[in-house]
Amino acid sequence: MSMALLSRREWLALLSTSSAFAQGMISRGLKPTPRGKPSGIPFNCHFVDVAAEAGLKAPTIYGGVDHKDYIVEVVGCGVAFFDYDNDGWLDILVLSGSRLDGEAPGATNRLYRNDRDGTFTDVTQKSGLEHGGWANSVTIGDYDNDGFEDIFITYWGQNVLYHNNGDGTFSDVTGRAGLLQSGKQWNSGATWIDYDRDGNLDLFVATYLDFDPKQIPKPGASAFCRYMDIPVNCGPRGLTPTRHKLYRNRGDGTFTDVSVESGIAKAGGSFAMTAVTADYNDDGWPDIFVACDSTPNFLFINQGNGTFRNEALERGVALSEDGQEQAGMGAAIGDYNLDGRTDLFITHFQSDTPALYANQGKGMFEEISLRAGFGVETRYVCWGTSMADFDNDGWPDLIVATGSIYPELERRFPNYPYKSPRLIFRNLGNGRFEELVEEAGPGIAAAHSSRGCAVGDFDNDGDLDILIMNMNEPPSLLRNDLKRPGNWLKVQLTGTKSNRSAIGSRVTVEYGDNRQVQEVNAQCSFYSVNDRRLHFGLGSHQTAGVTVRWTNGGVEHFDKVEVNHLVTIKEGVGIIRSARLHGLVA
Amino acid sequence: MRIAICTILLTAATASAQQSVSCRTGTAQFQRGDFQAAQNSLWDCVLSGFGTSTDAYNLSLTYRELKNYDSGLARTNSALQQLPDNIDLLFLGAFLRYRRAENKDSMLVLSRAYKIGPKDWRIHQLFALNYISFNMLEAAKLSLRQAIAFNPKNAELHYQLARVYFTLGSYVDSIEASKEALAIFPEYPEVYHNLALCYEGNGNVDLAVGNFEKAIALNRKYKRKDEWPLIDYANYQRMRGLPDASLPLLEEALAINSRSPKANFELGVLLRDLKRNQEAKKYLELAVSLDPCNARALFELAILTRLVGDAERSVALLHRFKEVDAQAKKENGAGRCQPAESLSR
Repeated sequence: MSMALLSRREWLALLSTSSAFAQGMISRGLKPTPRGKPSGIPFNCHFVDVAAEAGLKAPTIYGGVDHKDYIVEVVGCGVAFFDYDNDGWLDILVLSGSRLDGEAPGATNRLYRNDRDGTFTDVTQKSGLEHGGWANSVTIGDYDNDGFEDIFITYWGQNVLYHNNGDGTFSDVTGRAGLLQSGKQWNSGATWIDYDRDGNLDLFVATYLDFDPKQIPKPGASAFCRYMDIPVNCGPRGLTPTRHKLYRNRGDGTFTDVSVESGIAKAGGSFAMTAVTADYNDDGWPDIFVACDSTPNFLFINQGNGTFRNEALERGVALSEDGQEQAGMGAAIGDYNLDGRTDLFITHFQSDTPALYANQGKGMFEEISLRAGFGVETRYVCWGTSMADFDNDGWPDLIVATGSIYPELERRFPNYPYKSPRLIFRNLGNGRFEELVEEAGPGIAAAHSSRGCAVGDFDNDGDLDILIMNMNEPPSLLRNDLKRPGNWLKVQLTGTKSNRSAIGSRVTVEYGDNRQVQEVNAQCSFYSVNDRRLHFGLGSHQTAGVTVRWTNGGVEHFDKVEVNHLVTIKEGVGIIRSARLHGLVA
Repeated sequence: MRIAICTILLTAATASAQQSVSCRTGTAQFQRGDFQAAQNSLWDCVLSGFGTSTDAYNLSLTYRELKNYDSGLARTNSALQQLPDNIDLLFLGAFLRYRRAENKDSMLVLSRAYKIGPKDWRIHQLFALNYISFNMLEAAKLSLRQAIAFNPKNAELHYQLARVYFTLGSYVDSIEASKEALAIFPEYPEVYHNLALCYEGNGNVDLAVGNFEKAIALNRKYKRKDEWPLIDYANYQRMRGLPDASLPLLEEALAINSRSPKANFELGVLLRDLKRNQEAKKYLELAVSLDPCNARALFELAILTRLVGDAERSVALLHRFKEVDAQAKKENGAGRCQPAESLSR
């Protein structure tokens, strides 16, 4: 070959500095790593979408169907599994958005009461939860310790705190609680947290960005408004991030804004999304992780004196393994390697991988995504996620809900579908995960543009089911029909000195040589809330030891707890109920 | 009168012969790597008007080697005053401006050249290089296609088009362009390397592995010291969960270029995966010292330093990482970062 105008090194350098990925959503432009040979180990879960037969038929309105001019139309919202009427059966809350261009009939958050026969009844109107607007996330907790779970919902606009009246109805107490905001803000993730461990749930509220449709450029107006050379809605890059809030519960049903004195207001520059609390550094004080879109994540470490410090970078969770920002959407926590520490899993945009951060102790994390096998998946925009043991083999797996944000893209690039399947990453128990789609059943393989998802045992049959929000479609309710059930244990905590919902309490279950921790939290996945009954798959183990570290620091231990039971533990009292679950009545 | 005409013709013929000599001499000097001498001879050749486009192209390449762009540009400008429509000189002027990162000026000169020689493949190739500098990859792609239309047997153009496709994520098109290049020049290691990266992107493990190995084998066969296919193949093997296969590749890459920041970095990351943290740290330190502005290496080193228990230094490295990262973003990747003395220990 003759010489060339540029040397090989110059040519490579030239192309490496040119970025084909200047766009509103950040992505590392990763290629998938090769898939190894399948493990060949049968996966015993079979997920079937039973939403329609269960009565979840109302579509979740969220922005335009075929095109979306503004980022507010694409982010979507969360869902919740929770027991609002304390009947021992999980009810369902599905948030809703609206439309920018015209009417949005039927657009409201919806509460579905579990009828205990595999169906649900829409009780939205009766419960007082009918509400339009652009809802984003939900956090659920008993903020007034009256024994009934209350609801806080964030909006592009005024957030709403609903007090559970205990009679099947809710009251909007936002104003009375001191949670009215000035101006129209885009509130995103939110979570109850008893940060000062006084027994009253406080409230952290993240914000996404400064959004005014009149000020936002139109699709295609800049590099941040194009994707693969197609004009798309702008952002978040190129738009302005906003500040986050912490409200302290005074214990009388009202809240005080302590954002400044707590140090939360100092953190800026990131487009914050899902907020997940846990004691990441194991010092007994609840911390807050916030997945951030296209900007560094936050890890607010509770200093134990009423203040927080963002230590995400130092602790290794701000950025990817190679020091790059990622489009953090959802977050799951759990103990994937059964080492007794809380690990983090974060979902991202397409052409990037989800990230698994292994907690190395004292809240120091190491990203091990590629080593754990997540590099195989870069095709989809990933959102809601939960770390949960779906096949009850004793190793927590992962569910990821996916869906593009650009319906316009598919028309030109069929390989970039707007609707995409859900993903299961099955924990192989050796530090690696195996991606399963079709193998996990039609409910997983079905394509939707999904956002929030929650995990819970809605039919009380001892395995975990999945609730997923779909853009402009009814939600999916994926019933887990476990083919070879392993043993399990569910733990429900009731605080007395600690907050009654026990948010921030940690349960360690020991089975055989394994030791798994889980914490009660009030938001995770993507803007969503999981079943508060902590579920531990136990494999073939017949008994388990249970240790509870309550939010306020007290520790209680229980030996030889009977498996395949739901045990209810009351702080300072012990196991007050141990019940077999009998599944559906009908 | 007849004698006078004969004399003129004879003089012209003699001059022509002399200039042809300068062209031949320049070509020979160029081919044996005597670029300074070749530059002088090829200038005579180009100015004589008897040189070919290849002579002018080779002249531009002598500047690539000698990097004496300023004197070259002064000489080109001077010559253009006499011969303002000489396409070879315009090409040379545009090339030299391109090398001086004066891309806009280069494009302006190319526009003049294009009016004179719209079918000159060199002009289109240089347009493409400028477009890449402007991050206009679609335009670069079109220009390279034009260049190929006017010079379809030039393997390098096909290879460059393949690289642009690769950068755009169009692996299928990149593979096609690579195959065109190989049809012209079957032993083109860079093309096999590009093919390997494309198949890696497409998830075709067997073809990725085959092409990595072909690229490496050709480099070994022709004793070409190119560590890049080794580094990329090693990285691929690591991603496939084959660290043992990755290790000798990186060792070979470092034997070729022990000062390769990338090879040292990849070896550091590999050793970290193998939990050989102290050795990993050594190579990451080296990678950072060789390329202090590599934010990724700084970050990896910071995290690893913390894992091996040196929290204080980890914080210092993270601080440096933040500076470098912010600078890189501010400069849009142009990277004007200054090495931090305090970190070299």
